[in-house]
Amino acid sequence: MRALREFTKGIIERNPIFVLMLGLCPALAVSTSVTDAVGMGLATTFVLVCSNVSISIIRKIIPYRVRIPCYIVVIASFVTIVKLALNAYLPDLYKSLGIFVPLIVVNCIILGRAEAFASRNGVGLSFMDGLGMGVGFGLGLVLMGFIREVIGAGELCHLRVLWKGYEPMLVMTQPPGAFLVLGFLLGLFNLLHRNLKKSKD
Amino acid sequence: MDFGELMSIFIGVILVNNFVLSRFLGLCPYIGVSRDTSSAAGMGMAVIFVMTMASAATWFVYNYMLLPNENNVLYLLFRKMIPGITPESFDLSYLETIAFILVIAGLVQLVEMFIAKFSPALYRALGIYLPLITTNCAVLGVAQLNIAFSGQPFSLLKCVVQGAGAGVGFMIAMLLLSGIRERLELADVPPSLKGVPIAFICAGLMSLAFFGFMGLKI
Amino acid sequence: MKGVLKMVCVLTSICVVSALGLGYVYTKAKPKIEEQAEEASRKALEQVLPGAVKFADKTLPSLNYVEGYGADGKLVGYAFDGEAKGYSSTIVVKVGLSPDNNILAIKILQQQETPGLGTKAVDVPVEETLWDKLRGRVVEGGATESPFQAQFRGKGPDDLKLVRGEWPPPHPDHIDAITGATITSRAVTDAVKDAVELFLKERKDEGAQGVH
Repeated sequence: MRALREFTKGIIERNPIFVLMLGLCPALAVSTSVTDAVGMGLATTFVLVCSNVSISIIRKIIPYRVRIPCYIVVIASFVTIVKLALNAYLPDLYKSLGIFVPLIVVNCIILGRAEAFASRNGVGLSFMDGLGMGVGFGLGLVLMGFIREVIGAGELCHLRVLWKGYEPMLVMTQPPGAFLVLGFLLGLFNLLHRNLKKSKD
Repeated sequence: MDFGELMSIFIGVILVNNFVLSRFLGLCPYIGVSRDTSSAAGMGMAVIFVMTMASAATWFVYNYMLLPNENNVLYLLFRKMIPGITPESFDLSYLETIAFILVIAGLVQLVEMFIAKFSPALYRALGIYLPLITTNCAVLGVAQLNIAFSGQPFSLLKCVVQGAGAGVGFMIAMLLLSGIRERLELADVPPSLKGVPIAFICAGLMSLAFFGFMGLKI
Repeated sequence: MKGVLKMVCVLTSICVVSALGLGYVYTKAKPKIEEQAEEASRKALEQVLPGAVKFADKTLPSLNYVEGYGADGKLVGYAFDGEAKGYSSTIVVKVGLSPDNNILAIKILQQQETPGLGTKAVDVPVEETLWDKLRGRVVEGGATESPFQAQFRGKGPDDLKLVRGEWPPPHPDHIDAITGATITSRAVTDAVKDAVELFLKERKDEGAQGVH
């Protein structure tokens, strides 16, 4: 039962993007389309799950003082694997994610989960935690990608969804749109949280 | 060396392709440490410093250890021992990410120790920000941008200029946002938007303002 | 002392394990990456030299080019790369030139221009809607090439002039700039023009030598 809770907490209650506010750089940069968002979400989830599991396995032998370099090496190795795999099998996605594939290394979520969770918990729980956090991150990306792609290009997964004469609001696919969408979404999440609290009281 | 080209890289990376406002690099410290101007300035200085150093250090690592060329250190080392070996067998460029992040982490540690020893005043000012920089994606971002995505590999000087410019751009963006946020403390903001959400909306408007620099011909 | 030794040992062994693992993955991925790159460049060649099935690499003093032959063994044209600095990146273009020196097609191979503005140079307008796709309806007559790149078809080396504000094409005697992305448009046009001129000049020199 506990495992299931570790999985679900990452999705809403402790969503990495909207609640913990970690990993914001990729959240803004690769949410221009839903396709990119899904790709980035899956890549990050893979790294998160693998690094959580392997750090949990070796947590007992890592000396406390060099734990951060150890975590970084483990994470960077998995990121390189993802990078090579994307380059070999999905070159178009690799191209459109660009520099944000290697930058998964410095995504604060991954190091944060390694430090806060995987270094203190068993393999199974760490796996569920990584999976939950990864899925939560991916869903956040897809939500942003959905809003930005529909409004900013009138498309979804590069297919038209709005009527023919729709003049796309270009700014949404550009950097300012990303900041504005995230700002308002964070506000919305705050509002929901406050209302939830109120109704609980 | 063409001075004009260096200048255009420098100005371009500050205004046109600002790392924070148009490339989305280094957002965590950007939002996290911009609540007041003095800490924003401290973080900005530390980032300029580390980014410049990291650009130079990663350039050396990439060109002399990872790329398979005649100057590869490993090749020069093993050339004598293993006869008939070619530089191509030392193509380690796929290890770039892991090498860069280790170089940056080590560099930050070194810089921290160095400053602590030689300038305690500076250490007091920058000290708490330095450890945060290792996971600042702007630093790894500049190292990555310096290599693969610029078409031809940049020369050392260009890398350093791009690193310094990116740092300066980061600091300018931070100082501007911290000024706005200090004022916002006094403004009547809807309660759900208080804090980070409104900071993002401001950043969005700033990024819109930086659009004005697009098409700037240098 | 023992602590330090343990620290060094653990860190080194993690590094060694990960380096060996990555080395293994790299040897597996490398052929696939190269294969993908080869396929991409072949696809680009087939796009700029429509109808060509056989390709032969040729060299000139400062330019490499490819001759493409059709299924009947007839020369379709020449393909070569040009590049120019765009708005925020270096733009690399592949140009297909017919034997009578008209452009067959161009394809932008590499660019990182502003999304939504400069990228219009490569974006193919989407006609098919998500609903069509979900209902399995096929939309006929969708474009397969960006309208900007399509303008280059059939142009001679002297028609490569960029003019602003006369959208939509076609214009037989000039290239029309993309609104809001003049620098990108100019870079593409320059890249094509310079490459074509260099190619024609070097071939002429080569030909002159051949006569002697």
